[in-house]
Amino acid sequence: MDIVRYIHAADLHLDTPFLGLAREAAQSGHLSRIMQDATFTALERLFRFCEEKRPDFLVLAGDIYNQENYSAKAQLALRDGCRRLDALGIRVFMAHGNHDPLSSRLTAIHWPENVTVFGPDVESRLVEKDGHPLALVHGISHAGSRESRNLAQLFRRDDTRDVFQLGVLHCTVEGEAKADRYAPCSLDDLRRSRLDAWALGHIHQHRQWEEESFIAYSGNAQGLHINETGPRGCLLVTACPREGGWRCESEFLRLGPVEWQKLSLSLDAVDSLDGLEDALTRLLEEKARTLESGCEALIARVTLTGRTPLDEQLRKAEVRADLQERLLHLAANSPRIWLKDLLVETRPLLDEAEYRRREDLLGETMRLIEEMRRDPEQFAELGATALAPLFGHARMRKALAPPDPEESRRLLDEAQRLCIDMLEVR
Amino acid sequence: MYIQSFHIDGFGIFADVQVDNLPPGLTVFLGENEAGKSTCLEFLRTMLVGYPNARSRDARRIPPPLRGGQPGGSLNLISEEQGEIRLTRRPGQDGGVLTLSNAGGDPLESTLLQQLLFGINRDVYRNVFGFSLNELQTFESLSGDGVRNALYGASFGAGLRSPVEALRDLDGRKDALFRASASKPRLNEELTSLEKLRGEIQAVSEESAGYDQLATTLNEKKQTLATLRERREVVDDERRRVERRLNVWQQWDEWRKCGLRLEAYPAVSAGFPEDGPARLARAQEARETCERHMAAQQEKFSRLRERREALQEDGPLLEALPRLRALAERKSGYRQAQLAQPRLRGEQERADADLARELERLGPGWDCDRIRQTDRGIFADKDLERQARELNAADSSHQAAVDTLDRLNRDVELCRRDIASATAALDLLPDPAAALGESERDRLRQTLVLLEEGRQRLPARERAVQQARHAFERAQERLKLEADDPRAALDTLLAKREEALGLAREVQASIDSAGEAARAVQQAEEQADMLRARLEQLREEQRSSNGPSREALDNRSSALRSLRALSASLETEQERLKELSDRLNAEKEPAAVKNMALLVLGGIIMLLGLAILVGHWQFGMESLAITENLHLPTTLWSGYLVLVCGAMAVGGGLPRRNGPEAKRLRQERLQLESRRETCALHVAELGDKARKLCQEAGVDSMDPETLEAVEVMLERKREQCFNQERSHKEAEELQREIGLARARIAELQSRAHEMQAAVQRIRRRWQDFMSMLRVVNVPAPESAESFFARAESARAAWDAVENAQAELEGQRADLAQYENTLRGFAPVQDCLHEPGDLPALLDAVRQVLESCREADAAREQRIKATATLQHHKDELERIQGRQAEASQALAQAQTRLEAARRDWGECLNGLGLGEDLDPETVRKALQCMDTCLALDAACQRLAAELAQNEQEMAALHQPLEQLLTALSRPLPCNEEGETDWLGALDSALEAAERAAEVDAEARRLDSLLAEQDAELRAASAALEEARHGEATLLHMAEAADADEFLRLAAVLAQSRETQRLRDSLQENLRIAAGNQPFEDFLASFEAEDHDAQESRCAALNAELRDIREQEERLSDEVGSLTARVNGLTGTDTLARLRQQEALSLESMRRLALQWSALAMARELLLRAKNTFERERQPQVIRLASTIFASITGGNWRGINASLDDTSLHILPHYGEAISPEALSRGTQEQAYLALRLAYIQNHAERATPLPVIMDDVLVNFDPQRAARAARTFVELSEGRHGRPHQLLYFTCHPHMADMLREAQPHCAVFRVENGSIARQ
Repeated sequence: MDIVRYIHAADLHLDTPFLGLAREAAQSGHLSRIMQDATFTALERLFRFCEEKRPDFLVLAGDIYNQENYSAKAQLALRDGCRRLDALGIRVFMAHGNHDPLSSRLTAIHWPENVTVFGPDVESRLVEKDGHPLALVHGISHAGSRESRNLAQLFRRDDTRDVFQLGVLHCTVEGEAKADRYAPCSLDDLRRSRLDAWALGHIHQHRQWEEESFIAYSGNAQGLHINETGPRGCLLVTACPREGGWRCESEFLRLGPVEWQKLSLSLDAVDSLDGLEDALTRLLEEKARTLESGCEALIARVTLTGRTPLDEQLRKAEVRADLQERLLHLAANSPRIWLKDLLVETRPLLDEAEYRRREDLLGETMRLIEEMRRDPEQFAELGATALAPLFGHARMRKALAPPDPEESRRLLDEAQRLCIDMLEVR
Repeated sequence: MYIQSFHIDGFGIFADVQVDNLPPGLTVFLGENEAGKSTCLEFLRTMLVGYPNARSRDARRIPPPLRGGQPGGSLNLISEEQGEIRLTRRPGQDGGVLTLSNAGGDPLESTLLQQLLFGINRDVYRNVFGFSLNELQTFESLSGDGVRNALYGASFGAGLRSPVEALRDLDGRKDALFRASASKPRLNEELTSLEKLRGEIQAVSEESAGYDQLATTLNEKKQTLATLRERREVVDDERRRVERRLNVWQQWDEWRKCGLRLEAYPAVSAGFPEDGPARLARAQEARETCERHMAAQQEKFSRLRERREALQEDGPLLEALPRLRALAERKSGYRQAQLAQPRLRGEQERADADLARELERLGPGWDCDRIRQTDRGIFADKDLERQARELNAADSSHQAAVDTLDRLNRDVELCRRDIASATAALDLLPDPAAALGESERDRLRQTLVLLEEGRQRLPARERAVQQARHAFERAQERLKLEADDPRAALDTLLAKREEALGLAREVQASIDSAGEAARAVQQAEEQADMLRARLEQLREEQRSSNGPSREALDNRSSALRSLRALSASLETEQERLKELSDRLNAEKEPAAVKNMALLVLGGIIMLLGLAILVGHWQFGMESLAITENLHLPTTLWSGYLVLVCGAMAVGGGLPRRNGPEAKRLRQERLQLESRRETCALHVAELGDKARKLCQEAGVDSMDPETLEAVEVMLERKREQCFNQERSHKEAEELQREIGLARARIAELQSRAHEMQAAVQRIRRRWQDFMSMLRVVNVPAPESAESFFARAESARAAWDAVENAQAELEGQRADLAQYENTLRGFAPVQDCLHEPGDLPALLDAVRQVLESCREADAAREQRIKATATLQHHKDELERIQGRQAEASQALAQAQTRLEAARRDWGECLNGLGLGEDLDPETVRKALQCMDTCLALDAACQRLAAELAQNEQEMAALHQPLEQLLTALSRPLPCNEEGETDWLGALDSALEAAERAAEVDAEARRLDSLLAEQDAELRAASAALEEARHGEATLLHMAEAADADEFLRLAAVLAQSRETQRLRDSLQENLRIAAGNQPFEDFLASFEAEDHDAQESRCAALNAELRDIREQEERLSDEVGSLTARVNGLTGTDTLARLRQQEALSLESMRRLALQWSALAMARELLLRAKNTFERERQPQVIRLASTIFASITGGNWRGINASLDDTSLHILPHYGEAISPEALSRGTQEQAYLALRLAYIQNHAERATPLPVIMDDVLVNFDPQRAARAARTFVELSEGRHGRPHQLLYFTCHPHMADMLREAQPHCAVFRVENGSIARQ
């Protein structure tokens, strides 16, 4: 039996916007161009890898584009890429997911011969090499955007063929934390099918399980917000025959040109804004030096921690904005660095306990804040009362989600600072 | 806490000032104005709460040390909890350099002071605890808001802003970000733009969603367009062929006629020259031209010869021309010399006169030769100058030496007088001896200091022992141990500490677990309740909704879709039917055609026939003569015949329809009718189908609006159906979850019971364990940590008691040793005379030390006087030395002056001048000699110029005279009879120039004659050649003469033109034939009819036009479709809009978080304020009211603080409350004082009482109120209404001090005077 090599990619989400960026940062000419083309650049890199590595076939495990974006450009770009692979004799297997269900396919686009699009039922396609059977690829697509069936249970190994058998599926494996759980299944469901390997999509993080079956999420090709940090790409899987089965090895290939990063900087030894600027510059430049060559832009969120006299200044939005503006020169370096935002989690030098000991109104306020920290329910009640005018507003509700617990914690810190600012005469 | 003593190292006018034994109660400091009271107040405040920031305005209040000493000082503080604390503070950053130490000198943590101050910062202390009248009065100078803020600070907390202002500020900042019903705030603006953006996204999305259908339509249209283009090309080819033939039809006809004409022309010789007539004409013209040229040349030659023979030449004059020209060049030099001669002679005479005058100034015997012999070189001149300078310098130095000697003589006199006075002063000073040596004296002083310090510290040590005992007793009392030996019991307790804490933690853990279990049960029950509520809700929803089934909806939808499709085709068919009907109705009968000529002719003939018949019947005419020979018979038959002919002609000319056209029209009409019937049938079928579909879809009519509405309604019902299905599933799921939740609750409840039992068990174990440790009141396990902490502090208190006791004993032993040491000194014993008590001993020691200090001072003065005397003697000696040096310098200057005078005389002798001349006169004589020599040189130069002029004039006239003589020309003379050399030269030169011109003209004519002869010969040869050419042409054309030649040439030209026309036509026809064989093409002209070809061409053109119109329409459609498809595929509008939406959402999120922080801060502040008002504020205000009422003797009921509008109101017994601004100054100050005292008491309830310091705050009070305020101070200091406070009161009014002393007879009184503080 021959060695089987295939590239597994998923969740390209072509032509999908980036989330959570400030308007000033996103309107910077260069970054805006890179972001606009980022998902397409990732797709282009995928096809270039196929041309370089010459795998036996390419597997796309759903969510290649977003149905709600109505982007014909995305499907046309995909078709053009497949035509290039057709010229090289590389087959493409495509399963549709919840974001690009079968119903969203454009009938006016004619796909080349090498492309196999799996239908709403499990289908199996044989891949041949030099006239000999090489692998059998099973796959299924989501018929609609809310697939709730356990699709993994529909797969069965074809025992009549003694070749490498791969399953292609867009699903949520049990135990993965993801809000939209479509086509849920468990690892046991996948293993029960007795396929040699699985190429999965839907979870935007590279993950793999290697036991009797090689099960892998390739992750998405381009991180689209700050919670999708680090390099993103596809997997080049090499399956070698072994005693009674196949041994699979995967190699990660970077696709996304934009990388998100969460960084942390302790300000324990920093007592001036200049020093902070230097430290930030060093941190970001250090990070930029360690980036791989495929990264065209780094969008970073830096969390400032530690006990520092700068705490009060850093709590002011204008100081942070000024600092970010002064760090714009970093964008001149390559790969370009953009500071998405600065999260301030520093503490002041003065002791909060001292404030709480005060017998005046400020002390009373500080004690109340401490009580809020200790009692989440009471804090939730206070938050609901205070924030209702905004988040309960009929029109605003459609645009804004209430703050999550982490944000609420930061809001309480910020409110504490405001109370001290407002009450203390300086 | 109180200040027991303080030491000012350097602060304003105070330097090294120690104040001891301040009592914990009231102390009065009395001093006059500028005695240093305010400085002392400032010192105490600064020591306690720190120096202000060096750059702040407050820093100006801190005076520098004016009388020396290190800036800063120290305080000895006594605290109930911490015992004695020594505080030292020096200026520096962050409040200054603070050092804390305990009574033993061990350093303490600086945070201890912060703990003692308990949240009171620098500003609060200065505003409330330690304040002067100035600070009290600054309220008046502040604005109204400022006053209220300060008051509010005293209510809500000193140094704080008004919370109402803070809330207002927060509201303002919030509203700038978001307001529910506004449009301007940033979030509202962002929301508006977001909604607009979403609208655009919706529009673009809808457009993009139609991509698939659009692309399919585009492909179909492209296919149709391609087919149409192929058809167009076929038709176009055929049309072009026919058109080409029609276009060249006339050319073909011409070509044919040309062939016929060529055959008819006569033959012409083949050798006929090309372009014959023109060549013949040119040959004839050339011959005639040559003949004319020949005659002209001959005439020109004869004219030239005549002119040459008329010229005559003059040889000698021609040869003399170069020499005459050379002489003419010297004319200007001759003329200048002639003119300059008189001027030069005048100048020479004037120079001679000047020279004689200058020589006279020098004196008799002086001439130029003698002057030249005198040495006037550079070196002699310099030597003379040097001698003159030396003479002047020697004179000046001699004068200076005389002045110096005079001044030194005066200095020597002065110095001698100083020595005499210093010797007298030294003799007057005494020379005493000290009682003790230096080292002995130091030892005595140190021992004295140690003894005094030890005595001062002794009471503190005793108090410390007492306090430590009290502290231990308090600690032991709180523990309540039943034991005889508390120390052993404590040790046992602490030894078991870890075990007990472990047990307590176990108890706590089990309580926590039990609490968690109870919470889990509660949560599970709440969850189950929620699930049940949700289930009920779902069931309610299901009951209320009973819509149609999904299949029925699908069927209706399908019918609706078919109906929509059918509607479009039905509409199209109906339009087609209508169009056909219109066309049938519009179809007309073929138009009738009439022939006017036949009608008119017929009419005339009929009239003629009638005329014949009338003539025959009425007049009997037999015939009608038309001409003389022609007669028309007018019989009955001929009349009828003519009449019939006329009628036939009229019948032929009457209007009627054309036969074939009418037939075609009828056929078309039949076809249209047939198509209309088919179409009507189809429309009827479609109508039936539509009705059926309407029934299926449940609609009344099929207009698009109705269909749209029904479709929306169906979509809604489908959605409802989907929701129902989903709610069914959800209900089942909920049912299952409720079952699970019940099981879980039961399980959790059993677990909670178990946990409660475990808690009880472990609590019993705790109780037993503590009882075993002999603890009477067993603490709760939750407070085990604090119980053992108390035990540990009690143990530490016991250690502190032992330590304090040991220190006290040590201190007493040291004091005894110091006393013995002092008594051991002999001078002290001498002073004592008999062994006295300790104060006498100390006085004796001080006396001894004082006598030693006085002896030292006297000795020091004597040493200073001796040094002064010695200094004066040294000075005298030095001046006398300088006097001798000055005398010597004077002698040297005298010698130098004489030598200089001698050298000067010798130098003048050497020049031949008198010795008595001064340097200035010598300089003038030398200048005069220089002038004489310059004048002599000018005379010589003028004589040389005169000689040169005469030589120049002779150089012209001598050669001229010789030349004129040789040419035999006369010499002209001017009016004076002198020879005019210049005139003679000019006339001779003019004659020579003329002779040269004649010679040049003769040479030119000779050359022209030779050229003319050659041209004459060439003209003759050309004439011969022209004649030969003409004869050759005639021979070639075989013509006898020129006329025949021209006739033959005309025939040849016509035949050639015809041939060329035919060739051109043939070429055109060949091009027109294109790919068709040419012969066939020519043959096709003769085979087909011209008219038939034209009609075929018209038909093809019409078809082509139709095709083009269709193609154009389709192209437009394809173009617009392609643009739309490309627009949808190529555009990034949607992606861009979505990215903008993401950016806008992020901006809004950030703004929302800003708003949320503000809103949360506002809510927190509001709640804290409410709590504060409810629980704390009334206490301060009540207390302030009581104090204010007490001070004012009950004139005012009290103070009321309205916290909402941050104002303070004073309550009278009757009537409305008034604001403090309305009160007198004294009453205002009483209100503010009451507020402060209330705050101070309130603060002491929770913290260590702090020292209170006031500087003359009662001066604006009337005597009664001042007395009552003084009593309040005493009450505060004695702690009658709370804990006692130390109160330091500074005043400059003795009556105020008396009043306070009256209120508190035991109060301490200190006197402040000019930088010192002493107890009275």
